[in-house]
Amino acid sequence: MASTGLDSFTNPAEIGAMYPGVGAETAMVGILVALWVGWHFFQIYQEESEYREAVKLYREVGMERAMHHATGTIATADEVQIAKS
Amino acid sequence: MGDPVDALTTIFTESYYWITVVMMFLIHAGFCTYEVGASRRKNVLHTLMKNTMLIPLVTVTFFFFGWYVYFAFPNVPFASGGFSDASFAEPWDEFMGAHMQDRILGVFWAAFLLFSWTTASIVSGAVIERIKTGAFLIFAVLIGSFTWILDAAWGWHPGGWMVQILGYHDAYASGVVHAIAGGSALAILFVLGPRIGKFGPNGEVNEIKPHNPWLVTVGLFLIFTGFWGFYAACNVPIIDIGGEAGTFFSATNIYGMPTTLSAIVYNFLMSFSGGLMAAYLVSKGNPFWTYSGGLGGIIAASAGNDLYHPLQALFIGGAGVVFMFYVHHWVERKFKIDDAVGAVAVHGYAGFFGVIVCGFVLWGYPAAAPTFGDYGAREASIALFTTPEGLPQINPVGQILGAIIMFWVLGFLPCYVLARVLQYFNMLRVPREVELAGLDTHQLGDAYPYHAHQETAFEKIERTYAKE
Repeated sequence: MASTGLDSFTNPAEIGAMYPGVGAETAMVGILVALWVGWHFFQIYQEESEYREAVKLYREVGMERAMHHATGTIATADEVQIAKS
Repeated sequence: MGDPVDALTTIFTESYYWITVVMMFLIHAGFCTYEVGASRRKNVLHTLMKNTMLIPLVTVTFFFFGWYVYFAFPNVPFASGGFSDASFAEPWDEFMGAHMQDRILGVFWAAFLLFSWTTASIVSGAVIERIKTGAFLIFAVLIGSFTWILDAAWGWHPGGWMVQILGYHDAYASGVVHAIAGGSALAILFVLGPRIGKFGPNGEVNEIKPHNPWLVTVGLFLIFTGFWGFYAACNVPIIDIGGEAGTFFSATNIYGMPTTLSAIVYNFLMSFSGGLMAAYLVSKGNPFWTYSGGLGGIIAASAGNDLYHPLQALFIGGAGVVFMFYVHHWVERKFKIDDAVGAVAVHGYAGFFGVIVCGFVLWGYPAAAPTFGDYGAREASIALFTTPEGLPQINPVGQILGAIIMFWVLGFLPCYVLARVLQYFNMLRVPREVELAGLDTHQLGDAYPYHAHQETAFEKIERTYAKE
């Protein structure tokens, strides 16, 4: 079953759009606009969640250790425990 | 395309823009490399991803509406004409996909999209190490898919009202890309504030060194290389400009006015050299500022690099860099603006300078043919100043107004409003604890887990803030 109505290239001067789904462009745009806006919401939600967890952890262990952590030290056992809780 | 000359011209033009797109990818590779190098170890991965993700988001939104803006809004409604018919650039139009009867729109769209990435990416470097990724990506969409392309419709489109009324001339985007990006970055920085510890209690400026100066160097070289593609993409490679005098094929600038690839080769290299030489002297050999000066020199001369003499380009590039260097340090001290990579200076101040200087040096040249209003020629020009033949004329007044529109009206203002809104909803800046510990620390982790760390002088300063 052809999805474009295009099954021959023998007369190129008569050929217009070459992609499948001609006529469905508006619907595709609508769906992708919704996905784009949703992507922003989900990304912001993820980022805010991460920062909330991070701030909670740093307040538990103290900023001195949190800053040391940033220099490459592997997380200590209590930090891991707090992060999981 | 039955006619061989038409076919060759069309397919050459298609191939030409295709290659410029590939070359311009290097600009983004350079921005990512540069930003990562300039950031501190604890922020490297976050910095990388913030810049990387602007690529898909600007791409999809430029497809949805950015491209349409360029063709639909060159006029000022009720003053210079209505909205133009741009149905071919609507995202649901058949020409926004593979189409046997068109070979130009797609590659032209891609070239403009790469300009969009560049404009948004310029802002990215200025705000590293404390902006939330989500906030930055909203700015990227605003700048990359709306404000910059609106200014391109006004000041780059041959029928744009700034071109047709003001005689605005900006061949390689001193204002259209760089000044607007600099103005946007300044607005965000103004609201966002400096990194913790950047300014001491008595207003002293603490230097925050890049974690890897070699990445900064390589990044800038990649940007320099990609800029060749940027320049080439601002030209139309081959078109008959002969008119009534007969057939005469030439390259033109984006306004359809004649130039040559040789002209821009001369001027690109000379303005680059002028910028490097001036920056080396004023910064006393500082590598960061010297490299940035090379870029600033090109940007300062870009508005008129289609027509300048190479020695004029060299001088303008050098003067623009001196201007940007001193304005940057004055603004930094006076307003406590922490521009992490000097983006406002290199793009904003140098671009602003370049647009204005162009108005004096190219005063009297034709800006464009009077093609105002729905792509149809007017009987008479509506320009403030015209050439003896009746074409809009390049002039200082138009360029000064143009620089203000690019930097302040379309650059600073929209981003300032958006930054205030995001700040109100606490969506702009990462929490203080996260900034001090590093943006990578909690989730992404250290980018260099196999390398020992030695505390820097600035980290000692930061620890004092952590105790407050």
